[in-house]
Amino acid sequence: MNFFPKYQYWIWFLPILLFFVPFRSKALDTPESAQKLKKPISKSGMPFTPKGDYRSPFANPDFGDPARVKVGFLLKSITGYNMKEGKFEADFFLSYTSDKPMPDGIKPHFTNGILEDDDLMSQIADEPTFKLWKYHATFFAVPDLRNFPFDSQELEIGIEEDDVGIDQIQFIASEEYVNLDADFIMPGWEVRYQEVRVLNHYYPDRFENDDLYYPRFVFRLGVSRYGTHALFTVYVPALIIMLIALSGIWLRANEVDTRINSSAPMLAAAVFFHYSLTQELPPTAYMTRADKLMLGVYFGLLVNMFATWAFFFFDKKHEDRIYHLGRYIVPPLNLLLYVLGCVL
Amino acid sequence: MRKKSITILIFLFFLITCKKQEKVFEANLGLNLIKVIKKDAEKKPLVLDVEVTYPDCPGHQIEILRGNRDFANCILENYKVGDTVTGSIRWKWDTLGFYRWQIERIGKCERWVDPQDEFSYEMVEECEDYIVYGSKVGFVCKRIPTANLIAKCPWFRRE
Repeated sequence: MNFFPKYQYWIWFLPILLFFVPFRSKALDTPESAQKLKKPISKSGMPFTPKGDYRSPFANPDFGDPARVKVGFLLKSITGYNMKEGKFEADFFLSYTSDKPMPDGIKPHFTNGILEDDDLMSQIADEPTFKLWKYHATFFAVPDLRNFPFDSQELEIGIEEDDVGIDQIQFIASEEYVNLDADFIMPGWEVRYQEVRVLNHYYPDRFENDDLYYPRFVFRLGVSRYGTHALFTVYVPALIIMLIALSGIWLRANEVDTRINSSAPMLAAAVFFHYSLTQELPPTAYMTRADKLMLGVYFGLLVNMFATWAFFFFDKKHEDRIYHLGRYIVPPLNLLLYVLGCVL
Repeated sequence: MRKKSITILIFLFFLITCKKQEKVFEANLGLNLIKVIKKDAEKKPLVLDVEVTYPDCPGHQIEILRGNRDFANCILENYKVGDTVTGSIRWKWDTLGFYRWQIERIGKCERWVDPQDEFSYEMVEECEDYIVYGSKVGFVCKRIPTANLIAKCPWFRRE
């Protein structure tokens, strides 16, 4: 039985044709890079640029003066800021506007982030002198937690051209076109500043003749936690724990059980509270302000416990003196430790 | 002792809860843009946007205000882009936890602020260049009103 009466001969070549399709499409996708690397080859096998200021194979001395590219940036939103992992998601528009046609194949890449899926990028305009993209990408920023919970963070978005050097394009920071969207809000954080820097980035040699500088655009958003929130969620609970633990200091030796029960559980409360505070943070080599505060609280509780244990250490005849000394010394000492925890 | 403690607690309560009374300021406003956003069936303006700046305040402030038909008619009849007029600004506490301002009058045009308004926009920033080795490499724009700005234009105070 013949299924392919008319095409019975060439149908046998079909698998061979299909085998070559991926190679062919890849070659069509990257004409610029293929063309760029058509350079003389050094003895070591490395392509290089024989004329101009740079020997890098990515240099293009025939381009003429570099295109001066005004970079526009509009931050729409920042979501999912995770301090523990030091990452956040940013939704933004990026535009390049130049005074002369830009080199072919311009494609921004992120220096401190990743585009998790190609669908999260759309190119809205692709003209020789104007390009506009919309991105939703994930970025990484190491948090500075020394002042936690009154901390300020700097969220950075770095954009670079990785195969077009400053011999072809130069970025220009344009105040006019760098903005936050009208309804920009970052829950739990207050925007303090935005900063833009344009750098000529130089890589330590990755290959022979790697002497080209690459243009980099860096946007930084300075945010800080709301002070009142930090006050009421960290400092006030810590103070209340301390005050409750102190309440037993007004009980005499005959009520020592009640006295211990008023302060000992507060140690557990303080530990749990401290643990819950540190849950959202990565481990650090230094102490945060919250750690110092809790250290003050722990020492306060310890002093409180010593004042109670003193009833067991000393003779019964000293009970009155211990009670009075405890009343006059422990509360101010607790207060002092709390204040030291706050200000140190 | 008990009386003292109660007095201290009451004092602390008032210290935490008391807020400054709302104030009304007069300021010069520059009209940057006047744009009819929506017209009725008879092609008369129904909704109008006005972009204003604060020429007497240090830094860079832009506000886009949306207004209703009366506001639109008044603005279109009396003012044009480029005019500088006196406006009335109300500064008051917001339950979101900070003070905010609202322009309630531009020149002789009263503006009713719709509580459902999602379109009005305000941007307050003070920018300066980033200079490294004598060459400008970027800029930084402070988004929190500085003491200098608040001294000259106190309605920008948020805390």
